[in-house]
Amino acid sequence: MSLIDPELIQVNVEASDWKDAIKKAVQPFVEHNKVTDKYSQRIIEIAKETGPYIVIAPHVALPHASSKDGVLADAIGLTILKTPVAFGNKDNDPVKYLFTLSSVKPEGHLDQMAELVQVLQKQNLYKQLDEAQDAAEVDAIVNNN
Amino acid sequence: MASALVTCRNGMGTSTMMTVQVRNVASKNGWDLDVSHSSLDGVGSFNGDVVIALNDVAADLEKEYPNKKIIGIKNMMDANEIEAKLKPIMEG
Repeated sequence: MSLIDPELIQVNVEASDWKDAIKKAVQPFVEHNKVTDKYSQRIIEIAKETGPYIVIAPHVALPHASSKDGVLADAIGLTILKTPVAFGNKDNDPVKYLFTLSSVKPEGHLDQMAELVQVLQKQNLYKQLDEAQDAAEVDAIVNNN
Repeated sequence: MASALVTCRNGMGTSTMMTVQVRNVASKNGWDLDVSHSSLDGVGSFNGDVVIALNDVAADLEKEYPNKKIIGIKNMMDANEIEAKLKPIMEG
């Protein structure tokens, strides 16, 4: 099984702001029954309350909320924005790559995160992603197909 | 053995991922470091050597827990940054 679900990969997504980016990044999760439609709303609410906690590295966000916030299944997706948007994180703005997570376990999955860390540290990952033409090419890059 | 607590707002994605990174850095350097992770609720009762969080969270924690050693990380994917910030604690 692929670490990043090919059904949850999107490229060239247009977002008007960070909230729109989160909604669009979560949309395929709703369509494929990984989360309910309240999940993106919760991510946005938590970010408003506590700041842009999901921006973890330059241009990279990890949108996620708690398992209680409408998670139906474990999944990792990737949404690449056409134009990066600011999340209000002075270290790492603007965000272009959104690795969305849903986890039924409250504390997350360590082994899955270890695999995702490896993907995120691949040499030239972002250059390759920027050159990818479609979701299938992104799938090949992140899942080593 | 030294111990570190990695924390984030809700204790699920971010701290789990940073735990992986901190363990990688510790094992690469041969540091004997026990790394656990929790939501912010776990910080108060943690009595180990260092609390690690992303910069914005770390700034809040420093105010709330002036007696604890807190490290803020800017880029979680940058193993060099994590290593440089932990080194003084592990080898100092």
